[in-house]
Amino acid sequence: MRYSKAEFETLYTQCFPPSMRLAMSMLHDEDEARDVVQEVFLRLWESGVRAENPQAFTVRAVRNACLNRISTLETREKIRRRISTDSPDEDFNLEEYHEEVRTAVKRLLTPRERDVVGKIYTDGLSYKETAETLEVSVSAVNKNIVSALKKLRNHFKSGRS
Amino acid sequence: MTEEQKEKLIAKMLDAPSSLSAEELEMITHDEELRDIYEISASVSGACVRQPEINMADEWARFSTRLHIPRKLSPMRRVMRVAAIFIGVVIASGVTVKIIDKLATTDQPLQLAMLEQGRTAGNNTLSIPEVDDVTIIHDSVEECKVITPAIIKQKRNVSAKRSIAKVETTEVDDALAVADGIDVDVDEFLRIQQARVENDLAMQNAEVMADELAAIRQIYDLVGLNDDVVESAIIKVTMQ
Repeated sequence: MRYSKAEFETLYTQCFPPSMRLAMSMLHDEDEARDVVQEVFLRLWESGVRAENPQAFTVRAVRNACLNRISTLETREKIRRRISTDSPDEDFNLEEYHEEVRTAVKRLLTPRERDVVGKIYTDGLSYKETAETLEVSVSAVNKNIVSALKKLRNHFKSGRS
Repeated sequence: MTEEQKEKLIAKMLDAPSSLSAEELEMITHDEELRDIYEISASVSGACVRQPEINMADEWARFSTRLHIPRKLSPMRRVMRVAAIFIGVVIASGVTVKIIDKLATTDQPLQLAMLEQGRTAGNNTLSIPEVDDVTIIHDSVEECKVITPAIIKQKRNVSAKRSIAKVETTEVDDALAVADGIDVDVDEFLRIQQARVENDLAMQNAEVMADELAAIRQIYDLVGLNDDVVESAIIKVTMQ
């Protein structure tokens, strides 16, 4: 049975935020993430069927839609947007993995490394802007970020092996 | 690749990825250490990306403009649609039967000869000949052979007006009746019926489009756009 518009609004209100968060963490672009999420909900509306578990369904559909978008990007564009060039396995839980990364950033990195990671990855600042904000040299920023990434790489590599 | 070169490449990869050359991209994707660092950098980016603040009222308002009301046919329209399809099938099969009938008649010189006989007598109506006439035609086989090509040519002209059914015209439109009010041209009748069905379908489509237009207007009313803006937008889109 088809959703009424009021029912669909309720569903959208509940399911949009987690879907949008996932799309943002995969595509790193707000407009594109919103576009993908809206497409998924639009298809659900047009299909005229009710999802048994709407949140799980939409999150899954958004994940697949994002992977489809990523697969069309060239390597240069992926690197420009800091998107992984690896294709994840079907059963890979991306949200869980991101939570593990956030925990590792808090637990393994020094305060200065955390500051640098925050400025570059969360605020989207360049090395130069980060150096100015933290009042350190550009080479110190580079040293901190490389050190932080190597720690995280070793942590996840040893955890998987 | 030296450690110093790697450090420079990592710095470029993280700080100014747009400036990487094709060769440098190749190095990153083929060197295990650089590739690992890039992948963990992508993971940190995904995990730490700043999430936008979501205002659900705005998000729903933005999304609902993309929603259209699904087309829903009333029961009466559904019945009309089925009836129109049924009539179409009946007409199509009638036309097919007639074509087959026509093809079959072209291989029968005797019938064509009868047709020719009727035509030369100034009568376009196919009539059942008297037994004596048939006998005469059978007797003059040579004559039949000679007139056959001419008959086929003539038949094409005559067939359009050939009456194969006689229908009383009391319940049929005047346009369907020929001058004497009795003979009806079946081809013409079928064409008119088909045109009526097509007209009915076009009228139904127009009604559906009118409903969709009304739905679009409702949506725009909800959004708060006035009628003039909607009207001009619809005209613009329609003209495209």
